[in-house]
Amino acid sequence: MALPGQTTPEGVPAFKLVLVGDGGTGKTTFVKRHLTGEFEKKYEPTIGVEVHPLDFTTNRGKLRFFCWDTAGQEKFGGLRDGYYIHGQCAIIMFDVTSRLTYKNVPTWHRDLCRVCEGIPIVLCGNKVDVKNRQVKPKQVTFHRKKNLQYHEISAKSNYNYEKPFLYLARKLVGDPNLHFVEQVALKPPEVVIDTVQQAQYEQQLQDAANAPLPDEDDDIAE
Amino acid sequence: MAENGKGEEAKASSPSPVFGSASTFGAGTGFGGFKGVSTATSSRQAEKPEDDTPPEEGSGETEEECQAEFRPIVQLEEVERVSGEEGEETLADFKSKLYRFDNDSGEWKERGIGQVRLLKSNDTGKIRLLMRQEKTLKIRANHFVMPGTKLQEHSGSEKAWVYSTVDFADEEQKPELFCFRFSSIERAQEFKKHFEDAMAHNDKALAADEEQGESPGDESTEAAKEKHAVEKSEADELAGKVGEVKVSEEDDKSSQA
Repeated sequence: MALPGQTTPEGVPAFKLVLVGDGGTGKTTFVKRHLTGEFEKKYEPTIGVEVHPLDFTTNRGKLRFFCWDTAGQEKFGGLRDGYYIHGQCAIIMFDVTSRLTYKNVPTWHRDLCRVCEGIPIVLCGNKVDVKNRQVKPKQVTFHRKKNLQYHEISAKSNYNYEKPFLYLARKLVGDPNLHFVEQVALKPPEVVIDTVQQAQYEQQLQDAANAPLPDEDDDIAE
Repeated sequence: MAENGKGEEAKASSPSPVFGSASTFGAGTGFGGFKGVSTATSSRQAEKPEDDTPPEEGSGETEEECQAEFRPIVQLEEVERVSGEEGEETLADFKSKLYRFDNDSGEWKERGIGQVRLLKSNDTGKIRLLMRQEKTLKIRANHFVMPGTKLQEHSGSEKAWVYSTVDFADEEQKPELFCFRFSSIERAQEFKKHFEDAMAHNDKALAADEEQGESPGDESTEAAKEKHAVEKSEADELAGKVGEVKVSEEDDKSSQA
Protein backbone atom coordinates (compact mmCIF):
# COMPACT_ATOMS: atom_id res chain seq x y z
CA MET A 1 0.00 0.00 0.00
CA ALA A 2 2.94 2.28 0.60
CA LEU A 3 3.21 4.85 -2.14
CA PRO A 4 6.17 7.14 -2.56
CA GLY A 5 5.88 10.39 -0.64
CA GLN A 6 3.17 9.21 1.65
CA THR A 7 4.48 10.98 4.71
CA THR A 8 6.31 14.24 5.15
CA PRO A 9 9.83 14.13 6.60
CA GLU A 10 8.20 14.89 9.95
CA GLY A 11 6.08 11.78 9.66
CA VAL A 12 2.80 13.51 8.84
CA PRO A 13 0.60 11.43 6.54
CA ALA A 14 0.40 13.16 3.17
CA PHE A 15 -2.04 12.63 0.32
CA LYS A 16 -1.95 13.68 -3.28
CA LEU A 17 -5.12 15.59 -4.06
CA VAL A 18 -5.91 16.40 -7.67
CA LEU A 19 -7.98 19.54 -8.25
CA VAL A 20 -9.62 19.78 -11.68
CA GLY A 21 -12.42 21.65 -13.42
CA ASP A 22 -12.96 24.28 -16.08
CA GLY A 23 -10.96 27.49 -16.13
CA GLY A 24 -12.31 30.29 -13.95
CA THR A 25 -14.35 28.07 -11.62
CA GLY A 26 -12.22 29.14 -8.66
CA LYS A 27 -9.78 26.31 -8.05
CA THR A 28 -6.76 28.50 -7.37
CA THR A 29 -8.77 30.97 -5.30
CA PHE A 30 -10.10 28.08 -3.22
CA VAL A 31 -6.58 26.78 -2.57
CA LYS A 32 -5.26 30.25 -1.70
CA ARG A 33 -8.17 30.78 0.65
CA HIS A 34 -7.06 27.77 2.65
CA LEU A 35 -3.37 28.53 2.34
CA THR A 36 -3.13 32.19 3.35
CA GLY A 37 -6.72 33.18 4.08
CA GLU A 38 -6.84 35.63 1.21
CA PHE A 39 -9.61 35.85 -1.34
CA GLU A 40 -8.09 36.51 -4.74
CA LYS A 41 -10.46 38.34 -7.05
CA LYS A 42 -8.15 38.73 -10.00
CA TYR A 43 -8.27 35.94 -12.52
CA GLU A 44 -4.92 34.67 -13.61
CA PRO A 45 -5.17 31.33 -15.33
CA THR A 46 -3.01 28.57 -13.88
CA ILE A 47 -0.39 27.32 -16.29
CA GLY A 48 0.14 23.57 -16.11
CA VAL A 49 -0.05 22.84 -12.42
CA GLU A 50 0.79 24.37 -9.04
CA VAL A 51 1.31 22.13 -6.04
CA HIS A 52 0.54 23.45 -2.57
CA PRO A 53 0.67 21.68 0.79
CA LEU A 54 -2.53 22.15 2.77
CA ASP A 55 -2.33 21.11 6.42
CA PHE A 56 -5.16 20.20 8.73
CA THR A 57 -5.17 19.15 12.35
CA THR A 58 -7.66 16.42 13.20
CA ASN A 59 -8.59 14.30 16.19
CA ARG A 60 -6.33 11.68 14.61
CA GLY A 61 -3.39 14.00 14.22
CA LYS A 62 -2.08 16.23 11.52
CA LEU A 63 -2.72 15.55 7.82
CA ARG A 64 -1.30 17.11 4.71
CA PHE A 65 -2.91 17.30 1.29
CA PHE A 66 -0.50 18.00 -1.52
CA CYS A 67 -2.97 19.85 -3.63
CA TRP A 68 -2.28 19.65 -7.36
CA ASP A 69 -4.05 22.73 -8.64
CA THR A 70 -4.25 22.04 -12.37
CA ALA A 71 -4.92 24.38 -15.26
CA GLY A 72 -8.57 24.53 -16.22
CA GLN A 73 -8.01 26.24 -19.52
CA GLU A 74 -7.19 23.84 -22.30
CA LYS A 75 -4.49 25.99 -23.84
CA PHE A 76 -2.56 26.03 -20.56
CA GLY A 77 -3.17 22.37 -19.79
CA GLY A 78 0.46 21.27 -19.78
CA LEU A 79 0.71 17.56 -19.09
CA ARG A 80 -3.04 17.32 -18.39
CA ASP A 81 -3.84 13.86 -17.08
CA GLY A 82 -0.10 13.36 -16.63
CA TYR A 83 -0.62 15.27 -13.39
CA TYR A 84 -3.19 12.79 -12.14
CA ILE A 85 -0.88 9.82 -11.65
CA HIS A 86 -0.83 8.50 -8.08
CA GLY A 87 -3.64 10.86 -7.16
CA GLN A 88 -5.22 9.56 -3.96
CA CYS A 89 -8.25 11.83 -3.87
CA ALA A 90 -9.72 14.57 -6.00
CA ILE A 91 -11.95 17.60 -6.19
CA ILE A 92 -13.84 18.43 -9.38
CA MET A 93 -14.91 22.07 -9.35
CA PHE A 94 -17.57 23.80 -11.37
CA ASP A 95 -19.11 27.25 -11.19
CA VAL A 96 -22.82 27.41 -10.36
CA THR A 97 -23.06 30.65 -12.32
CA SER A 98 -21.93 28.95 -15.54
CA ARG A 99 -23.83 26.00 -17.01
CA LEU A 100 -21.01 25.07 -19.31
CA THR A 101 -18.66 24.38 -16.43
CA TYR A 102 -21.17 21.87 -15.05
CA LYS A 103 -21.66 20.30 -18.47
CA ASN A 104 -17.95 19.61 -18.61
CA VAL A 105 -17.86 17.81 -15.28
CA PRO A 106 -18.34 14.33 -16.85
CA THR A 107 -15.29 14.87 -19.05
CA TRP A 108 -13.11 15.85 -16.10
CA HIS A 109 -14.44 12.88 -14.17
CA ARG A 110 -13.81 10.43 -17.01
CA ASP A 111 -10.23 11.62 -17.55
CA LEU A 112 -9.56 11.49 -13.84
CA CYS A 113 -10.94 7.98 -13.41
CA ARG A 114 -8.89 6.65 -16.31
CA VAL A 115 -5.78 7.42 -14.32
CA CYS A 116 -6.97 7.15 -10.73
CA GLU A 117 -9.47 4.39 -10.28
CA GLY A 118 -11.61 4.18 -7.18
CA ILE A 119 -10.42 7.25 -5.33
CA PRO A 120 -12.72 9.42 -3.23
CA ILE A 121 -13.86 12.45 -5.21
CA VAL A 122 -15.78 15.54 -4.18
CA LEU A 123 -17.77 17.50 -6.70
CA CYS A 124 -17.85 21.17 -5.70
CA GLY A 125 -20.31 23.74 -6.99
CA ASN A 126 -18.49 26.98 -6.26
CA LYS A 127 -19.69 30.61 -6.10
CA VAL A 128 -23.02 29.85 -4.42
CA ASP A 129 -22.82 33.32 -2.87
CA VAL A 130 -23.72 34.79 -6.27
CA LYS A 131 -27.38 35.76 -6.38
CA ASN A 132 -28.10 34.84 -9.98
CA ARG A 133 -26.91 31.28 -10.23
CA GLN A 134 -27.40 29.27 -13.40
CA VAL A 135 -27.04 25.74 -12.06
CA LYS A 136 -29.68 25.08 -9.39
CA PRO A 137 -29.14 22.47 -6.71
CA LYS A 138 -31.82 20.24 -8.28
CA GLN A 139 -29.99 20.22 -11.56
CA VAL A 140 -26.85 18.82 -10.00
CA THR A 141 -27.24 15.07 -10.34
CA PHE A 142 -23.98 13.81 -11.76
CA HIS A 143 -22.55 12.89 -8.37
CA ARG A 144 -25.38 10.43 -7.68
CA LYS A 145 -24.62 8.28 -10.70
CA LYS A 146 -20.92 8.25 -10.05
CA ASN A 147 -20.77 7.94 -6.30
CA LEU A 148 -19.22 11.32 -5.69
CA GLN A 149 -19.73 13.50 -2.69
CA TYR A 150 -21.28 16.86 -3.59
CA HIS A 151 -20.80 20.15 -1.76
CA GLU A 152 -22.03 23.60 -2.59
CA ILE A 153 -19.29 25.98 -1.60
CA SER A 154 -18.25 29.59 -1.76
CA ALA A 155 -14.59 30.46 -1.61
CA LYS A 156 -15.74 34.04 -1.20
CA SER A 157 -18.01 33.66 1.82
CA ASN A 158 -16.25 30.54 3.18
CA TYR A 159 -19.57 28.67 2.97
CA ASN A 160 -18.79 24.94 3.35
CA TYR A 161 -15.22 25.66 2.35
CA GLU A 162 -13.80 23.09 4.77
CA LYS A 163 -16.23 20.32 3.82
CA PRO A 164 -14.43 18.90 0.78
CA PHE A 165 -11.27 18.35 2.82
CA LEU A 166 -13.22 16.95 5.73
CA TYR A 167 -14.95 14.40 3.50
CA LEU A 168 -11.71 13.35 1.81
CA ALA A 169 -9.86 13.09 5.11
CA ARG A 170 -12.64 10.90 6.53
CA LYS A 171 -12.41 8.53 3.58
CA LEU A 172 -8.62 8.40 3.46
CA VAL A 173 -8.38 7.72 7.18
CA GLY A 174 -11.48 5.55 7.34
CA ASP A 175 -13.18 7.44 10.15
CA PRO A 176 -16.63 8.84 9.38
CA ASN A 177 -16.43 10.95 12.54
CA LEU A 178 -13.05 12.50 11.91
CA HIS A 179 -13.13 16.20 12.69
CA PHE A 180 -10.83 19.18 12.77
CA VAL A 181 -9.31 20.23 16.08
CA GLU A 182 -7.13 23.15 17.09
CA GLN A 183 -3.78 23.50 15.42
CA VAL A 184 -1.24 23.66 18.26
CA ALA A 185 -0.53 27.29 19.10
CA LEU A 186 3.13 27.50 20.07
CA LYS A 187 4.12 30.18 22.49
CA PRO A 188 5.26 33.21 20.50
CA PRO A 189 8.61 34.73 21.48
CA GLU A 190 8.61 37.93 23.48
CA VAL A 191 10.11 40.03 20.77
CA VAL A 192 12.78 42.60 21.31
CA ILE A 193 11.93 45.69 19.36
CA ASP A 194 14.36 46.49 16.62
CA THR A 195 14.22 50.24 16.28
CA VAL A 196 15.20 50.38 12.63
CA GLN A 197 12.57 47.91 11.60
CA GLN A 198 10.00 49.36 13.94
CA ALA A 199 10.50 52.83 12.49
CA GLN A 200 10.11 51.41 9.01
CA TYR A 201 6.84 49.75 9.92
CA GLU A 202 5.46 52.70 11.83
CA GLN A 203 5.96 54.73 8.72
CA GLN A 204 4.10 52.20 6.61
CA LEU A 205 1.34 52.06 9.19
CA GLN A 206 -0.19 55.34 8.06
CA ASP A 207 -0.18 54.34 4.40
CA ALA A 208 -1.68 50.99 5.24
CA ALA A 209 -4.38 52.58 7.38
CA ASN A 210 -5.39 54.62 4.34
CA ALA A 211 -5.48 51.69 1.94
CA PRO A 212 -9.00 50.30 1.53
CA LEU A 213 -9.93 46.87 2.90
CA PRO A 214 -11.07 44.40 0.25
CA ASP A 215 -14.55 43.95 1.71
CA GLU A 216 -14.99 46.64 4.31
CA ASP A 217 -18.72 46.95 3.67
CA ASP A 218 -19.48 43.33 4.51
CA ASP A 219 -20.81 42.91 8.01
CA ILE A 220 -19.21 40.60 10.48
CA ALA A 221 -21.84 38.47 12.18
CA GLU A 222 -21.16 37.79 15.86
CA MET B 1 -12.11 0.81 15.35
CA ALA B 2 -9.91 1.70 18.28
CA GLU B 3 -11.27 4.68 20.09
CA ASN B 4 -8.79 5.67 22.66
CA GLY B 5 -5.75 3.91 21.33
CA LYS B 6 -2.69 5.76 22.43
CA GLY B 7 -0.27 2.90 21.95
CA GLU B 8 2.87 2.66 19.91
CA GLU B 9 1.08 3.23 16.69
CA ALA B 10 -0.55 6.39 17.90
CA LYS B 11 2.84 7.73 18.85
CA ALA B 12 4.34 6.70 15.57
CA SER B 13 1.66 8.38 13.58
CA SER B 14 1.39 11.40 15.82
CA PRO B 15 2.55 14.37 13.82
CA SER B 16 3.89 16.32 16.75
CA PRO B 17 7.42 16.77 15.34
CA VAL B 18 6.04 19.16 12.77
CA PHE B 19 5.16 21.59 15.48
CA GLY B 20 8.74 21.93 16.48
CA SER B 21 10.57 19.92 19.08
CA ALA B 22 11.43 23.11 20.94
CA SER B 23 7.93 23.48 22.26
CA THR B 24 7.53 23.23 25.98
CA PHE B 25 3.95 24.23 26.49
CA GLY B 26 1.32 22.06 27.99
CA ALA B 27 3.57 19.20 28.95
CA GLY B 28 2.12 17.60 32.03
CA THR B 29 -0.06 20.51 32.97
CA GLY B 30 -2.87 18.13 33.56
CA PHE B 31 -5.36 20.07 31.53
CA GLY B 32 -7.58 17.54 29.88
CA GLY B 33 -8.74 19.47 26.88
CA PHE B 34 -9.60 22.74 25.36
CA LYS B 35 -12.54 24.48 27.02
CA GLY B 36 -13.20 21.42 29.09
CA VAL B 37 -14.12 19.31 26.09
CA SER B 38 -12.52 15.92 26.28
CA THR B 39 -11.42 13.97 23.25
CA ALA B 40 -13.92 11.29 24.05
CA THR B 41 -16.90 13.52 23.48
CA SER B 42 -15.50 14.42 20.08
CA SER B 43 -17.02 17.87 20.11
CA ARG B 44 -17.73 19.12 16.66
CA GLN B 45 -16.46 22.54 17.31
CA ALA B 46 -15.19 22.67 13.80
CA GLU B 47 -18.61 21.83 12.48
CA LYS B 48 -20.92 24.26 14.16
CA PRO B 49 -24.03 25.17 12.23
CA GLU B 50 -23.20 27.55 9.45
CA ASP B 51 -23.16 31.18 10.39
CA ASP B 52 -21.86 32.38 7.09
CA THR B 53 -23.74 33.14 3.94
CA PRO B 54 -26.11 30.33 3.11
CA PRO B 55 -26.63 29.42 -0.51
CA GLU B 56 -29.49 31.09 -2.25
CA GLU B 57 -31.77 28.08 -2.11
CA GLY B 58 -32.17 24.40 -1.46
CA SER B 59 -29.13 23.73 0.67
CA GLY B 60 -30.88 20.80 2.31
CA GLU B 61 -30.68 18.30 -0.49
CA THR B 62 -27.06 19.02 -1.23
CA GLU B 63 -25.95 17.80 2.16
CA GLU B 64 -26.62 14.13 1.61
CA GLU B 65 -23.57 12.04 2.31
CA CYS B 66 -22.15 9.91 -0.47
CA GLN B 67 -22.38 6.27 0.56
CA ALA B 68 -19.47 4.96 -1.51
CA GLU B 69 -16.93 2.92 0.43
CA PHE B 70 -13.21 3.37 -0.02
CA ARG B 71 -10.35 1.48 1.48
CA PRO B 72 -8.57 3.81 3.87
CA ILE B 73 -5.00 4.64 2.92
CA VAL B 74 -3.71 5.19 6.44
CA GLN B 75 -4.64 4.01 9.88
CA LEU B 76 -4.38 6.69 12.49
CA GLU B 77 -5.17 6.45 16.15
CA GLU B 78 -6.98 9.13 18.06
CA VAL B 79 -4.54 11.57 19.58
CA GLU B 80 -4.87 13.68 22.66
CA ARG B 81 -6.26 17.08 21.89
CA VAL B 82 -3.56 19.69 22.44
CA SER B 83 -4.36 23.28 21.56
CA GLY B 84 -1.20 24.83 22.97
CA GLU B 85 -3.45 26.99 25.12
CA GLU B 86 -3.31 24.75 28.14
CA GLY B 87 -2.49 26.77 31.21
CA GLU B 88 -3.75 29.99 29.71
CA GLU B 89 -6.67 32.14 30.69
CA THR B 90 -8.85 33.87 28.08
CA LEU B 91 -9.06 37.56 28.94
CA ALA B 92 -10.93 38.70 25.84
CA ASP B 93 -12.70 37.01 22.95
CA PHE B 94 -13.99 38.81 19.85
CA LYS B 95 -15.34 37.75 16.49
CA SER B 96 -13.16 39.48 13.96
CA LYS B 97 -11.87 39.53 10.46
CA LEU B 98 -8.13 39.80 10.07
CA TYR B 99 -6.23 41.30 7.14
CA ARG B 100 -2.52 41.49 6.48
CA PHE B 101 -0.89 44.19 4.42
CA ASP B 102 0.84 42.80 1.37
CA ASN B 103 3.84 44.97 0.69
CA ASP B 104 4.36 43.69 -2.83
CA SER B 105 0.94 44.72 -4.06
CA GLY B 106 0.41 47.53 -1.53
CA GLU B 107 -2.96 46.00 -0.68
CA TRP B 108 -4.73 44.52 2.30
CA LYS B 109 -5.40 40.82 1.94
CA GLU B 110 -7.75 38.76 3.99
CA ARG B 111 -6.01 36.54 6.46
CA GLY B 112 -8.88 34.92 8.28
CA ILE B 113 -12.17 35.15 10.10
CA GLY B 114 -12.78 33.78 13.55
CA GLN B 115 -12.32 34.56 17.22
CA VAL B 116 -9.41 36.75 18.21
CA ARG B 117 -8.47 36.23 21.83
CA LEU B 118 -6.09 37.58 24.43
CA LEU B 119 -4.60 34.77 26.47
CA LYS B 120 -2.73 35.14 29.73
CA SER B 121 -0.20 32.49 30.65
CA ASN B 122 -0.51 31.14 34.17
CA ASP B 123 3.22 30.40 34.05
CA THR B 124 4.76 33.67 32.95
CA GLY B 125 1.79 35.96 33.57
CA LYS B 126 2.25 37.40 30.09
CA ILE B 127 -0.42 37.94 27.48
CA ARG B 128 -0.49 36.92 23.85
CA LEU B 129 -2.96 37.49 21.02
CA LEU B 130 -4.22 34.39 19.23
CA MET B 131 -6.62 34.09 16.35
CA ARG B 132 -7.86 30.87 14.80
CA GLN B 133 -9.70 30.46 11.54
CA GLU B 134 -13.23 29.30 12.19
CA LYS B 135 -14.01 25.68 11.28
CA THR B 136 -10.47 24.61 10.38
CA LEU B 137 -9.06 26.11 13.62
CA LYS B 138 -5.83 26.98 11.88
CA ILE B 139 -3.76 29.73 13.43
CA ARG B 140 -4.00 33.07 11.64
CA ALA B 141 -2.32 35.33 14.20
CA ASN B 142 -0.20 34.47 17.21
CA HIS B 143 1.97 37.10 18.85
CA PHE B 144 3.05 38.52 22.15
CA VAL B 145 1.17 41.72 22.93
CA MET B 146 4.09 44.08 22.59
CA PRO B 147 4.06 47.16 24.84
CA GLY B 148 4.28 50.30 22.74
CA THR B 149 2.23 48.92 19.87
CA LYS B 150 0.30 51.73 18.23
CA LEU B 151 -3.30 50.95 17.32
CA GLN B 152 -4.29 53.14 14.44
CA GLU B 153 -7.86 53.47 13.25
CA HIS B 154 -8.38 52.41 9.67
CA SER B 155 -9.41 55.41 7.62
CA GLY B 156 -12.19 53.51 5.87
CA SER B 157 -13.71 51.88 8.92
CA GLU B 158 -14.23 52.92 12.53
CA LYS B 159 -14.58 49.25 13.33
CA ALA B 160 -11.01 48.40 12.37
CA TRP B 161 -7.58 48.78 13.98
CA VAL B 162 -4.26 48.69 12.19
CA TYR B 163 -0.94 47.94 13.88
CA SER B 164 2.49 46.56 13.19
CA THR B 165 3.82 43.54 15.00
CA VAL B 166 6.07 40.54 14.69
CA ASP B 167 3.82 37.54 14.21
CA PHE B 168 4.46 33.87 14.85
CA ALA B 169 1.40 32.23 13.25
CA ASP B 170 3.47 30.24 10.76
CA GLU B 171 5.94 29.27 13.47
CA GLU B 172 8.55 31.67 12.25
CA GLN B 173 8.82 35.33 13.10
CA LYS B 174 7.45 37.66 10.48
CA PRO B 175 7.02 41.41 10.65
CA GLU B 176 3.43 42.12 9.74
CA LEU B 177 0.98 44.95 9.39
CA PHE B 178 -2.33 43.62 10.65
CA CYS B 179 -5.82 45.00 10.54
CA PHE B 180 -8.55 43.60 12.77
CA ARG B 181 -12.11 44.50 11.87
CA PHE B 182 -15.00 43.96 14.29
CA SER B 183 -18.77 43.66 14.09
CA SER B 184 -19.42 47.11 15.55
CA ILE B 185 -17.70 50.27 16.70
CA GLU B 186 -18.45 49.28 20.29
CA ARG B 187 -16.75 45.94 19.89
CA ALA B 188 -13.77 47.61 18.25
CA GLN B 189 -13.49 49.99 21.20
CA GLU B 190 -13.74 47.15 23.68
CA PHE B 191 -10.99 45.31 21.88
CA LYS B 192 -8.76 48.37 21.98
CA LYS B 193 -9.30 48.72 25.71
CA HIS B 194 -8.39 45.08 26.29
CA PHE B 195 -5.38 45.32 24.01
CA GLU B 196 -4.09 48.41 25.81
CA ASP B 197 -4.59 46.80 29.19
CA ALA B 198 -2.64 43.79 27.94
CA MET B 199 0.20 46.04 26.75
CA ALA B 200 0.39 47.76 30.13
CA HIS B 201 0.34 44.38 31.85
CA ASN B 202 3.09 42.96 29.65
CA ASP B 203 5.15 46.10 30.12
CA LYS B 204 5.14 45.53 33.87
CA ALA B 205 5.84 41.85 33.46
CA LEU B 206 8.84 42.56 31.22
CA ALA B 207 10.16 45.13 33.66
CA ALA B 208 9.86 42.58 36.45
CA ASP B 209 11.81 40.10 34.32
CA GLU B 210 14.56 42.61 33.82
CA GLU B 211 14.78 43.33 37.53
CA GLN B 212 15.29 39.68 38.15
CA GLY B 213 17.97 39.80 35.48
CA GLU B 214 16.64 36.67 33.94
CA SER B 215 15.98 35.99 30.34
CA PRO B 216 12.62 34.44 29.59
CA GLY B 217 12.20 30.70 29.11
CA ASP B 218 14.69 28.77 27.00
CA GLU B 219 12.19 28.33 24.21
CA SER B 220 11.64 32.01 23.71
CA THR B 221 15.35 32.68 23.93
CA GLU B 222 15.92 30.25 21.11
CA ALA B 223 13.22 31.88 19.07
CA ALA B 224 14.45 35.34 19.97
CA LYS B 225 17.86 34.49 18.62
CA GLU B 226 16.37 33.25 15.44
CA LYS B 227 14.30 36.38 15.23
CA HIS B 228 17.29 38.53 15.83
CA ALA B 229 19.00 36.93 12.90
CA VAL B 230 16.00 37.67 10.72
CA GLU B 231 15.86 41.25 11.83
CA LYS B 232 19.56 41.64 11.50
CA SER B 233 19.47 40.65 7.87
CA GLU B 234 16.54 42.97 7.27
CA ALA B 235 18.29 45.81 9.03
CA ASP B 236 21.38 45.07 7.00
CA GLU B 237 19.36 45.24 3.84
CA LEU B 238 18.02 48.59 4.89
CA ALA B 239 21.44 49.78 5.88
CA GLY B 240 22.60 48.68 2.48
CA LYS B 241 20.08 51.00 0.93
CA VAL B 242 21.10 53.88 3.14
CA GLY B 243 24.41 52.92 1.73
CA GLU B 244 27.63 54.68 1.13
CA VAL B 245 27.06 57.69 3.36
CA LYS B 246 27.50 55.76 6.56
CA VAL B 247 30.36 53.74 5.23
CA SER B 248 32.32 56.77 4.16
CA GLU B 249 31.78 58.35 7.57
CA GLU B 250 33.21 55.30 9.18
CA ASP B 251 36.13 55.45 6.82
CA ASP B 252 36.76 59.01 7.86
CA LYS B 253 36.80 58.04 11.48
CA SER B 254 39.10 55.14 10.96
CA SER B 255 41.51 57.22 8.94
CA GLN B 256 41.56 59.81 11.71
CA ALA B 257 42.23 57.24 14.32
